[in-house]
Amino acid sequence: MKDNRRSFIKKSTALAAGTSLIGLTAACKEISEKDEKVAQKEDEKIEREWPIKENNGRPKICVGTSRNSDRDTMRKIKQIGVDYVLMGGPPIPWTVESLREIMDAFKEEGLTVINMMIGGHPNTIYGREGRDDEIEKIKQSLIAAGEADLPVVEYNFYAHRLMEGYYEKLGRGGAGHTAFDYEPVKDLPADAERGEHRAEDLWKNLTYFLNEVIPVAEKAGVRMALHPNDPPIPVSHGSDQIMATLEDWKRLIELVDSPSNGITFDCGVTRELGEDPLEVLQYFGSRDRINHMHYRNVISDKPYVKYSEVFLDEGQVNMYAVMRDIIGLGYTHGIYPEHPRALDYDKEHPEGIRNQYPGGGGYTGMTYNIGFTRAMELAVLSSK
Amino acid sequence: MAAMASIGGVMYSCSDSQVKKTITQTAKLNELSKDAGIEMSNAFFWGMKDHAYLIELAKQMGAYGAVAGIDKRLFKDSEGKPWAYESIKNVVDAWKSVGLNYNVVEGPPSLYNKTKLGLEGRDEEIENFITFMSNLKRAGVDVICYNWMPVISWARTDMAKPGRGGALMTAFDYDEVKDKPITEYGEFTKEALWDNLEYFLKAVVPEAEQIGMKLALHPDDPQVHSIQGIPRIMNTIENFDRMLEIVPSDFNGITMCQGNFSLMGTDIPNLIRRWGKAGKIHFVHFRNIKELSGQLPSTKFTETFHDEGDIDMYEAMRAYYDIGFKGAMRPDHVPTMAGEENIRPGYMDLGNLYAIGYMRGLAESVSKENREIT
Repeated sequence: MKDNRRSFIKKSTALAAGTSLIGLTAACKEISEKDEKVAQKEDEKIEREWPIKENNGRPKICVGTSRNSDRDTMRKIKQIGVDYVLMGGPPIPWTVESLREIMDAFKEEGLTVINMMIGGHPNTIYGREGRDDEIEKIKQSLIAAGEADLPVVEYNFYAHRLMEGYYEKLGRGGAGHTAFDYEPVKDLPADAERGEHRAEDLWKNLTYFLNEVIPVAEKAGVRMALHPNDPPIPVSHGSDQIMATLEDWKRLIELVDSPSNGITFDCGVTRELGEDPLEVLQYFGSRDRINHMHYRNVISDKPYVKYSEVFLDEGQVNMYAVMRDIIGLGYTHGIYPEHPRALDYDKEHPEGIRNQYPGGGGYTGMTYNIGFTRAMELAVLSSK
Repeated sequence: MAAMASIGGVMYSCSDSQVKKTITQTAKLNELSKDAGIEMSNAFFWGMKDHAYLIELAKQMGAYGAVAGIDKRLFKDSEGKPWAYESIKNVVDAWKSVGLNYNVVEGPPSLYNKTKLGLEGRDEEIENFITFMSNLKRAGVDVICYNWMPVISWARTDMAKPGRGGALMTAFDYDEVKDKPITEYGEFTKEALWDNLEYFLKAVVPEAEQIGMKLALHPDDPQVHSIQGIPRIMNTIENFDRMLEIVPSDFNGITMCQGNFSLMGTDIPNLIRRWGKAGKIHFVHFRNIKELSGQLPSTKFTETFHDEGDIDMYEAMRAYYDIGFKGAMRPDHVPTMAGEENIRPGYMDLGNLYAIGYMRGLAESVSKENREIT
């Protein structure tokens, strides 16, 4: 693990111990580091790194915002102590100029863009005519991203997304949770325009896509992150979901063997699958395939079927252990505590809630999430 | 049909009992580690109406502690004395009715200039204060945060200093108050204030012991030597040690205000350990500061967001965990944020929300790093 400030502390305590313990017997070896610290005089300041800064060797807490964010929006992000942002990218093909214009505007307010979502490739997903044109535009975009120093490009690859299963469930103090139930919506008919799509076809299309774009991304120095199916359910409006199980995610990274072919690891979605977030994190992280991360907590009633997205401090994911393990793996990309809860404060303020999820919140909810996530990051970077 | 098979397939890919076991273990661990057992609290000094949003937010955050004075507006009998049991009970019940737990009286009644300056009538004040302690305990509250700052209490010279992203912070610079005239009370010596403090402690601490009331003396804020002829004595670590020795008792304790003690030039985590092990910390103001003057005690400072000041907040929280602190802790003097009118500098809503998230993240972390997670 890089940048562990415990090493600073050890150096200084060793020095202090060296002078104060001269002449004592070997028993002093049993004095734990904690006791040594207690024994120190309070005016004897321990040399510590503080405040801890995010840098290139560390993960980066980030929030999503519009690429057209105004100055006030950017400053609101700075207020909660966040220096990194992500957003949906411009229409493809991206150019170095179009990216730099966006990134420079954020830079002026001290924000670094670390991830843009790329889209506009329906023909690629459905394997229709026109996909080669889309793929060409995406390749150009990846090259532009590399030149503009945009490290991560995120994307989706779903035939359909089952938004109808979401509903708001009230939690403590009446705060909104984003709940999901597959049962009432699992048999919804196919979308006339999009049709029904089988998993084997989608896999073929994804393979075709990755074989084309991953070598380009790798050469450009850009990492791609495929967002899991969220909600992670088997079928949406008649179309199979191919990023909805752990086996799917494993299969994805084997399609093209490159660090540029990675996933967005979501510890909440992982729990929604009934999988252990820590094991899954280890699997992908140790292979250097986590290129972006969502930091959320959930209560799962039945894997793949029913769950609620809850506050970070409640639920069935050990958020501390997730933070500890991802930092332990030397992860340096984004950590996004997305999907904040719907607080009444946001509901009662104009434009407080700006998202598509029932029970999803706004800036106030995010303020709480960032405070919590920042503290956990600090704690892990500070501890052994 | 395909859907059914697919669900079945994944459901059985990991056994149900295994899933349930890890989920139950994690949920249990999360519950055990929640806030490291600390009572997460907020200050509501302006009353329920002005703090309507914060009350709502506190409940949604699950930070149920309410710290406030004895608010007369909550008395059923408007003529009631603030030290009377009925009055206190009204206040406790009012907080309960909005879903919060009134756990610390900060700024108690009947402890004013007469006692602190040793003026005529102090015995009556002290007598009423003792009555207050007794009735407060009976109403279910057992911590009083008080200070020894007569006439001029809390002071800042800038209530809207721009911080990161344009957030507004509170700041103090002694240079801006040093030439202000003395007050109508005239001038006092430090020794006079010590005498008065000693008189108070000797009268009150034995009673507090009997009652079971934890007295938590807050450091002077700002902790400079004198303002407008009124000296300040609770402004060095040595003086606090001296105060604790006047009447040694578990009930003669301290409010660990990280900001002010840090401005005295001490290392906060080590101080928490020393006083914490001695059982003297009854209440915590979790707070951070920067831009000091370089003199001790500092004549200058700015109050920051929790994650950007000079105090190592992680080490501080670890120290609270190590000493087994389970009392009330609240954020103090938070920046005013976007969209907020700066009408209660240091005490607006969003800054508290951010702070509670931050404190909770730290508390859960230090709690978990000491438990082996399976």
